Amino acid sequence: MNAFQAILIIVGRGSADRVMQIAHENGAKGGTIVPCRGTGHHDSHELLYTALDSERELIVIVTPGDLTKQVAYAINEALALDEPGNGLLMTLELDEVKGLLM
Amino acid sequence: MDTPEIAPFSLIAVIVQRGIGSKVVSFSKDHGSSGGTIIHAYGTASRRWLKALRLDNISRDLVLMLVRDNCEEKLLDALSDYLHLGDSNTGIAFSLPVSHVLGTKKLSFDTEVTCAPPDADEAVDYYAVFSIVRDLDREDAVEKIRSTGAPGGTYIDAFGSADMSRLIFNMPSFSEKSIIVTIASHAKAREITEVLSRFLKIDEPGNGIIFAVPVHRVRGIAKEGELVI
Repeated sequence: MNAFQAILIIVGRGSADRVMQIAHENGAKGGTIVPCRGTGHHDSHELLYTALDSERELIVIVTPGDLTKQVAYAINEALALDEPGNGLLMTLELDEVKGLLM
Repeated sequence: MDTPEIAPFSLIAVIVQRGIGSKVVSFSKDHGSSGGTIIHAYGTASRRWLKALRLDNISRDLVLMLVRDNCEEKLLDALSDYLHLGDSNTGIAFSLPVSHVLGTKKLSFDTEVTCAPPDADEAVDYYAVFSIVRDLDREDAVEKIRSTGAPGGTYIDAFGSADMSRLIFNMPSFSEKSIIVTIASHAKAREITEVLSRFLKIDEPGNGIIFAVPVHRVRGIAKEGELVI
Protein backbone atom coordinates (compact mmCIF):
# COMPACT_ATOMS: atom_id res chain seq x y z
CA MET A 1 0.00 0.00 0.00
CA ASN A 2 1.21 3.47 -0.82
CA ALA A 3 1.05 6.36 1.63
CA PHE A 4 -2.22 7.64 0.19
CA GLN A 5 -5.26 6.18 -1.49
CA ALA A 6 -8.17 7.76 -3.31
CA ILE A 7 -11.49 6.16 -2.41
CA LEU A 8 -14.04 6.45 -5.22
CA ILE A 9 -17.63 5.78 -4.21
CA ILE A 10 -20.51 5.64 -6.67
CA VAL A 11 -23.95 5.82 -5.00
CA GLY A 12 -27.46 6.96 -5.79
CA ARG A 13 -28.18 10.67 -5.99
CA GLY A 14 -28.72 12.08 -2.51
CA SER A 15 -26.56 9.60 -0.63
CA ALA A 16 -23.41 11.72 -0.83
CA ASP A 17 -24.17 13.61 2.39
CA ARG A 18 -24.48 10.34 4.27
CA VAL A 19 -21.23 9.04 2.75
CA MET A 20 -19.40 12.21 3.72
CA GLN A 21 -20.83 12.12 7.25
CA ILE A 22 -19.55 8.58 7.74
CA ALA A 23 -16.19 9.50 6.22
CA HIS A 24 -15.88 12.43 8.62
CA GLU A 25 -16.78 10.23 11.58
CA ASN A 26 -13.99 7.87 10.59
CA GLY A 27 -11.35 10.53 10.27
CA ALA A 28 -11.43 11.70 6.64
CA LYS A 29 -11.06 15.43 6.26
CA GLY A 30 -13.12 16.11 3.19
CA GLY A 31 -14.33 14.89 -0.16
CA THR A 32 -15.49 15.99 -3.57
CA ILE A 33 -18.88 15.14 -5.01
CA VAL A 34 -19.58 14.81 -8.73
CA PRO A 35 -23.11 14.41 -10.10
CA CYS A 36 -23.25 11.69 -12.77
CA ARG A 37 -25.45 8.93 -14.16
CA GLY A 38 -25.08 5.19 -13.95
CA THR A 39 -25.83 2.55 -16.53
CA GLY A 40 -25.27 -0.73 -14.70
CA HIS A 41 -27.27 -3.94 -14.94
CA HIS A 42 -29.68 -2.96 -12.23
CA ASP A 43 -30.44 0.58 -13.11
CA SER A 44 -30.66 0.85 -16.86
CA HIS A 45 -34.04 0.56 -18.55
CA GLU A 46 -35.21 1.31 -21.99
CA LEU A 47 -38.49 3.04 -22.58
CA LEU A 48 -39.59 3.72 -26.15
CA TYR A 49 -36.00 3.14 -27.29
CA THR A 50 -34.75 5.86 -24.96
CA ALA A 51 -32.27 4.76 -22.35
CA LEU A 52 -33.25 5.77 -18.84
CA ASP A 53 -30.14 6.07 -16.75
CA SER A 54 -30.28 6.47 -13.03
CA GLU A 55 -28.90 9.56 -11.35
CA ARG A 56 -25.79 8.88 -9.35
CA GLU A 57 -23.15 10.64 -7.33
CA LEU A 58 -19.43 9.97 -7.48
CA ILE A 59 -17.52 10.86 -4.34
CA VAL A 60 -13.73 11.18 -4.27
CA ILE A 61 -12.04 11.02 -0.87
CA VAL A 62 -8.26 11.06 -0.48
CA THR A 63 -7.14 9.32 2.71
CA PRO A 64 -3.78 8.38 4.24
CA GLY A 65 -3.05 4.65 4.10
CA ASP A 66 -3.83 3.92 7.74
CA LEU A 67 -7.36 5.32 7.44
CA THR A 68 -8.38 3.89 4.08
CA LYS A 69 -9.53 0.48 5.25
CA GLN A 70 -11.54 1.87 8.14
CA VAL A 71 -13.29 4.52 6.04
CA ALA A 72 -13.96 2.08 3.21
CA TYR A 73 -15.49 -0.59 5.43
CA ALA A 74 -17.58 1.93 7.37
CA ILE A 75 -19.08 3.29 4.15
CA ASN A 76 -19.55 -0.22 2.77
CA GLU A 77 -21.49 -1.24 5.86
CA ALA A 78 -23.58 1.89 6.26
CA LEU A 79 -24.74 1.98 2.64
CA ALA A 80 -25.05 -1.80 2.27
CA LEU A 81 -22.96 -1.76 -0.90
CA ASP A 82 -22.87 -5.56 -0.91
CA GLU A 83 -26.49 -5.60 -2.03
CA PRO A 84 -26.80 -5.37 -5.81
CA GLY A 85 -27.66 -1.93 -7.15
CA ASN A 86 -26.66 0.01 -4.06
CA GLY A 87 -23.36 1.26 -5.36
CA LEU A 88 -19.69 0.58 -5.59
CA LEU A 89 -16.53 1.55 -3.76
CA MET A 90 -12.98 1.28 -5.07
CA THR A 91 -9.57 2.52 -4.03
CA LEU A 92 -6.70 3.74 -6.21
CA GLU A 93 -3.10 3.89 -5.07
CA LEU A 94 -1.76 7.42 -5.41
CA ASP A 95 1.80 8.34 -6.20
CA GLU A 96 2.02 12.03 -5.50
CA VAL A 97 -0.34 13.92 -3.26
CA LYS A 98 -0.26 17.62 -2.53
CA GLY A 99 -2.64 19.72 -0.49
CA LEU A 100 -4.05 17.11 1.88
CA LEU A 101 -4.33 18.57 5.36
CA MET A 102 -3.38 16.16 8.07
CA MET B 1 -2.76 -15.69 -5.52
CA ASP B 2 -4.68 -18.30 -3.56
CA THR B 3 -7.99 -17.58 -5.21
CA PRO B 4 -7.35 -17.34 -8.92
CA GLU B 5 -11.00 -16.63 -9.73
CA ILE B 6 -10.65 -13.18 -8.18
CA ALA B 7 -8.89 -11.20 -10.88
CA PRO B 8 -7.89 -7.71 -9.82
CA PHE B 9 -9.86 -4.84 -11.26
CA SER B 10 -8.97 -1.95 -13.47
CA LEU B 11 -10.80 1.32 -13.80
CA ILE B 12 -11.22 2.26 -17.44
CA ALA B 13 -11.82 5.91 -18.17
CA VAL B 14 -12.96 7.03 -21.62
CA ILE B 15 -13.23 10.67 -22.63
CA VAL B 16 -15.37 11.17 -25.73
CA GLN B 17 -17.63 13.79 -27.24
CA ARG B 18 -20.85 14.56 -25.41
CA GLY B 19 -23.62 12.11 -26.23
CA ILE B 20 -21.41 9.16 -27.12
CA GLY B 21 -21.05 8.09 -23.48
CA SER B 22 -24.09 5.79 -23.48
CA LYS B 23 -22.91 4.24 -26.74
CA VAL B 24 -19.52 3.55 -25.18
CA VAL B 25 -21.15 1.84 -22.21
CA SER B 26 -23.47 -0.34 -24.29
CA PHE B 27 -20.57 -1.31 -26.56
CA SER B 28 -18.43 -2.14 -23.53
CA LYS B 29 -21.18 -4.27 -22.02
CA ASP B 30 -20.69 -6.64 -24.96
CA HIS B 31 -16.97 -6.74 -24.24
CA GLY B 32 -16.75 -7.66 -20.58
CA SER B 33 -17.88 -4.56 -18.73
CA SER B 34 -20.86 -4.78 -16.40
CA GLY B 35 -21.85 -1.15 -16.72
CA GLY B 36 -20.49 2.30 -16.36
CA THR B 37 -20.93 5.75 -14.95
CA ILE B 38 -21.18 8.74 -17.24
CA ILE B 39 -20.03 12.15 -16.07
CA HIS B 40 -20.50 15.42 -17.91
CA ALA B 41 -17.07 16.84 -18.56
CA TYR B 42 -15.59 19.66 -20.59
CA GLY B 43 -12.51 19.76 -22.74
CA THR B 44 -10.23 22.74 -22.69
CA ALA B 45 -9.59 24.17 -26.13
CA SER B 46 -6.21 25.66 -26.72
CA ARG B 47 -7.10 27.88 -29.66
CA ARG B 48 -7.20 31.53 -28.85
CA TRP B 49 -9.90 32.45 -31.35
CA LEU B 50 -12.23 29.84 -29.87
CA LYS B 51 -11.64 31.41 -26.51
CA ALA B 52 -12.35 34.88 -27.85
CA LEU B 53 -15.68 33.63 -29.17
CA ARG B 54 -16.37 31.94 -25.83
CA LEU B 55 -16.52 28.60 -27.62
CA ASP B 56 -13.77 27.16 -25.48
CA ASN B 57 -16.03 24.93 -23.40
CA ILE B 58 -16.21 21.74 -25.41
CA SER B 59 -18.69 19.30 -23.96
CA ARG B 60 -17.37 15.84 -23.29
CA ASP B 61 -18.55 12.64 -21.66
CA LEU B 62 -16.23 10.96 -19.19
CA VAL B 63 -17.14 7.29 -18.79
CA LEU B 64 -15.85 5.28 -15.84
CA MET B 65 -16.06 1.49 -16.00
CA LEU B 66 -14.78 -1.07 -13.55
CA VAL B 67 -13.62 -4.23 -15.33
CA ARG B 68 -11.65 -7.34 -14.47
CA ASP B 69 -7.98 -7.13 -15.33
CA ASN B 70 -8.16 -10.08 -17.71
CA CYS B 71 -10.46 -8.29 -20.14
CA GLU B 72 -9.11 -4.78 -19.67
CA GLU B 73 -6.63 -4.79 -22.55
CA LYS B 74 -9.11 -6.42 -24.94
CA LEU B 75 -11.75 -3.86 -24.06
CA LEU B 76 -9.34 -0.96 -24.55
CA ASP B 77 -8.35 -2.29 -27.96
CA ALA B 78 -11.98 -2.86 -28.93
CA LEU B 79 -12.88 0.67 -27.81
CA SER B 80 -9.91 2.03 -29.71
CA ASP B 81 -11.18 0.39 -32.91
CA TYR B 82 -14.82 1.27 -32.29
CA LEU B 83 -14.19 4.93 -31.52
CA HIS B 84 -11.25 5.33 -33.94
CA LEU B 85 -9.11 6.61 -31.10
CA GLY B 86 -6.09 6.52 -33.38
CA ASP B 87 -7.45 9.53 -35.26
CA SER B 88 -7.10 12.99 -33.81
CA ASN B 89 -9.92 14.65 -31.93
CA THR B 90 -11.90 11.49 -31.27
CA GLY B 91 -11.17 10.82 -27.65
CA ILE B 92 -8.90 9.04 -25.27
CA ALA B 93 -9.16 5.89 -23.18
CA PHE B 94 -6.93 4.85 -20.32
CA SER B 95 -6.95 2.37 -17.47
CA LEU B 96 -5.92 2.81 -13.87
CA PRO B 97 -5.06 -0.10 -11.58
CA VAL B 98 -7.57 -0.43 -8.73
CA SER B 99 -6.27 -1.80 -5.44
CA HIS B 100 -9.53 -2.70 -3.71
CA VAL B 101 -13.20 -2.92 -4.53
CA LEU B 102 -16.13 -3.19 -2.16
CA GLY B 103 -19.69 -3.61 -3.30
CA THR B 104 -21.26 -6.47 -5.18
CA LYS B 105 -17.99 -7.51 -6.82
CA LYS B 106 -15.90 -7.84 -3.76
CA LEU B 107 -12.13 -7.67 -3.68
CA SER B 108 -11.77 -7.19 0.03
CA PHE B 109 -8.95 -5.54 1.92
CA ASP B 110 -7.93 -8.91 3.35
CA THR B 111 -7.05 -10.10 -0.14
CA GLU B 112 -3.45 -9.50 -1.06
CA VAL B 113 -3.57 -7.66 -4.36
CA THR B 114 -0.77 -7.52 -6.85
CA CYS B 115 -1.52 -5.25 -9.73
CA ALA B 116 -0.22 -6.74 -12.96
CA PRO B 117 2.83 -4.81 -14.13
CA PRO B 118 2.53 -3.41 -17.63
CA ASP B 119 3.97 -5.57 -20.39
CA ALA B 120 7.56 -4.83 -21.27
CA ASP B 121 6.68 -3.96 -24.86
CA GLU B 122 3.92 -1.65 -23.70
CA ALA B 123 5.47 0.08 -20.76
CA VAL B 124 3.54 3.32 -20.54
CA ASP B 125 5.13 6.00 -18.49
CA TYR B 126 2.00 8.12 -18.18
CA TYR B 127 0.33 9.54 -15.14
CA ALA B 128 -3.20 10.80 -14.69
CA VAL B 129 -3.00 13.98 -12.67
CA PHE B 130 -6.22 14.88 -10.86
CA SER B 131 -6.33 18.45 -9.59
CA ILE B 132 -9.34 19.38 -7.49
CA VAL B 133 -9.41 23.17 -7.44
CA ARG B 134 -11.86 25.94 -6.66
CA ASP B 135 -14.08 26.66 -9.64
CA LEU B 136 -12.77 30.24 -9.66
CA ASP B 137 -9.18 29.05 -10.03
CA ARG B 138 -9.94 26.60 -12.82
CA GLU B 139 -9.10 28.75 -15.85
CA ASP B 140 -5.84 29.93 -14.34
CA ALA B 141 -4.97 26.39 -13.31
CA VAL B 142 -5.51 25.14 -16.87
CA GLU B 143 -3.25 27.95 -18.12
CA LYS B 144 -0.59 26.86 -15.64
CA ILE B 145 -0.91 23.25 -16.77
CA ARG B 146 -0.53 24.39 -20.34
CA SER B 147 2.53 26.45 -19.48
CA THR B 148 4.35 23.21 -18.71
CA GLY B 149 3.79 22.06 -22.28
CA ALA B 150 0.89 19.70 -21.56
CA PRO B 151 -2.05 20.21 -23.91
CA GLY B 152 -4.52 21.08 -21.14
CA GLY B 153 -7.02 18.59 -19.91
CA THR B 154 -10.61 17.73 -19.22
CA TYR B 155 -12.55 19.17 -16.34
CA ILE B 156 -15.60 18.16 -14.37
CA ASP B 157 -17.88 20.36 -12.27
CA ALA B 158 -18.04 19.08 -8.70
CA PHE B 159 -18.77 20.11 -5.14
CA GLY B 160 -16.39 20.04 -2.25
CA SER B 161 -17.45 19.05 1.24
CA ALA B 162 -15.05 20.22 3.89
CA ASP B 163 -15.30 19.47 7.58
CA MET B 164 -17.43 22.34 8.88
CA SER B 165 -17.34 21.34 12.51
CA ARG B 166 -13.83 22.71 12.59
CA LEU B 167 -13.43 26.31 11.65
CA ILE B 168 -10.12 25.99 9.82
CA PHE B 169 -12.15 25.85 6.64
CA ASN B 170 -13.56 29.33 6.38
CA MET B 171 -15.81 28.33 3.50
CA PRO B 172 -19.39 27.22 2.95
CA SER B 173 -19.83 23.51 3.49
CA PHE B 174 -20.52 22.84 -0.18
CA SER B 175 -18.22 24.85 -2.38
CA GLU B 176 -18.02 24.68 -6.14
CA LYS B 177 -14.98 22.78 -7.31
CA SER B 178 -13.55 21.62 -10.60
CA ILE B 179 -11.68 18.37 -11.08
CA ILE B 180 -9.10 18.73 -13.85
CA VAL B 181 -7.86 15.46 -15.35
CA THR B 182 -4.60 15.62 -17.30
CA ILE B 183 -2.63 12.74 -18.80
CA ALA B 184 1.08 13.44 -18.88
CA SER B 185 4.41 11.67 -18.90
CA HIS B 186 6.01 11.02 -15.53
CA ALA B 187 8.39 13.99 -15.71
CA LYS B 188 5.67 16.31 -16.93
CA ALA B 189 3.21 15.08 -14.30
CA ARG B 190 5.73 15.95 -11.62
CA GLU B 191 6.22 19.38 -13.18
CA ILE B 192 2.46 19.97 -13.29
CA THR B 193 2.00 19.09 -9.63
CA GLU B 194 4.90 21.35 -8.67
CA VAL B 195 3.69 24.30 -10.74
CA LEU B 196 0.08 23.92 -9.65
CA SER B 197 0.80 23.49 -5.98
CA ARG B 198 2.91 26.64 -6.01
CA PHE B 199 0.29 28.57 -7.94
CA LEU B 200 -2.67 27.43 -5.83
CA LYS B 201 -0.79 27.68 -2.51
CA ILE B 202 -2.01 24.17 -2.03
CA ASP B 203 -0.76 23.78 1.53
CA GLU B 204 -3.28 26.30 2.79
CA PRO B 205 -6.69 24.92 3.77
CA GLY B 206 -9.46 25.02 1.20
CA ASN B 207 -7.23 25.64 -1.79
CA GLY B 208 -7.57 22.22 -3.32
CA ILE B 209 -5.75 18.94 -3.65
CA ILE B 210 -3.63 17.37 -6.37
CA PHE B 211 -2.86 13.69 -6.82
CA ALA B 212 -1.27 11.57 -9.52
CA VAL B 213 -2.18 7.99 -10.43
CA PRO B 214 0.06 5.86 -12.66
CA VAL B 215 -1.80 4.90 -15.84
CA HIS B 216 -1.74 1.22 -16.80
CA ARG B 217 -2.53 1.48 -20.51
CA VAL B 218 -3.57 4.36 -22.70
CA ARG B 219 -5.21 4.62 -26.13
CA GLY B 220 -5.83 7.73 -28.19
CA ILE B 221 -2.49 9.46 -28.05
CA ALA B 222 -1.69 10.46 -31.61
CA LYS B 223 2.02 10.95 -31.31
CA GLU B 224 4.65 10.64 -28.68
CA GLY B 225 3.79 13.12 -25.97
CA GLU B 226 0.89 14.61 -27.85
CA LEU B 227 -2.56 14.08 -26.48
CA VAL B 228 -5.87 14.30 -28.23
CA ILE B 229 -8.33 15.57 -25.68
